[in-house]
Amino acid sequence: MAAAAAEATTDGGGKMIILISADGKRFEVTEAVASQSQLISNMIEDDCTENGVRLPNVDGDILTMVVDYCNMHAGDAAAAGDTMKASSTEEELKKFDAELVQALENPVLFKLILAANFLNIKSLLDMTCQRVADMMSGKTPEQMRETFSIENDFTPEEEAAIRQENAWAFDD
Amino acid sequence: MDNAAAPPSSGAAGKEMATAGALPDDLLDEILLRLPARSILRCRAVCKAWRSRTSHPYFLEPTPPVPGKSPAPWCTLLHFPSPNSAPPSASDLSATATATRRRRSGAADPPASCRCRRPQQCGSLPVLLSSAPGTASCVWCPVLAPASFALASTVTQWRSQEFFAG
Repeated sequence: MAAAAAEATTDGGGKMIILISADGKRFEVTEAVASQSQLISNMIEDDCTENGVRLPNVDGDILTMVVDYCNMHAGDAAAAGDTMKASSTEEELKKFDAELVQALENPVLFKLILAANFLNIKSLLDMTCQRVADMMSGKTPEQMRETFSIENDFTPEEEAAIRQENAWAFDD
Repeated sequence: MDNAAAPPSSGAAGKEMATAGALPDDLLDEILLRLPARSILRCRAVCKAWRSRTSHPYFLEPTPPVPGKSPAPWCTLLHFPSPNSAPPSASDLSATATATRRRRSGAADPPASCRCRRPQQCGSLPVLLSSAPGTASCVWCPVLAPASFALASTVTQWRSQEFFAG
């Protein structure tokens, strides 16, 4: 959220980048942190991050989570100079990831998926999609509709026919 | 290098897209392809959009799963309970008896050891033959493959009633 100049540098020597959310919140992160987003990594290569990176598709509260995630995982990406971040162990990362996705309400989880996809952060996209798959697994069609607020647009006859196609899958 | 200014097709995050039903197709696929066969089939009964996505050719694709990408869902077509019985070759699975696809609830997707095996064509149906050491041999077919196909009589002697009614 700091509004420092985009050219500011950290003690580690890494260049800082300002990310600006849809609702105008500003996040200052190192290049190493931001580069976990392939989208931003490409922008850094193309030298178009000077005036901050506007992300009109990502709300501030979602971007907060994304930045937290990237800060936590910056160590993976071999930011060896950054001793503070490099100290998180694999175990801590796993715990952080599990807590991040498990605490989320559905609408937030889906916004995080969309943001991870837009920013092209593969590990975050994998993790959030897997979370949704885990939530779907073992549920009946009714339970899935309820969990994800989906309207049943089949007629009762159509639905019965679909169930008949692969009846074994609907046994409990 | 792509210019970053152009958002991808599924980048409409700012809008009210808060439910799984409203996820763009490519992201819905990302999720569906992580599910076991049983859940995929259940998803087909949730809504028309999900049914349409799970009818995508990918779910019937006769190519081996790509590393790093979730495998297309398969289910057991035939099961050879003896740990040492070799699975038939694809050419054995060609004619005569008609098999109805069945799967016992709780049966697993193909083990990792057979994911690397190249699917073989059996008529119009791609099948995977698995024989992981120490485990039962199985014939797998894509979860959305037609429910029946022809089997050679040399194979039917191995059939297990539990998995297979012909």
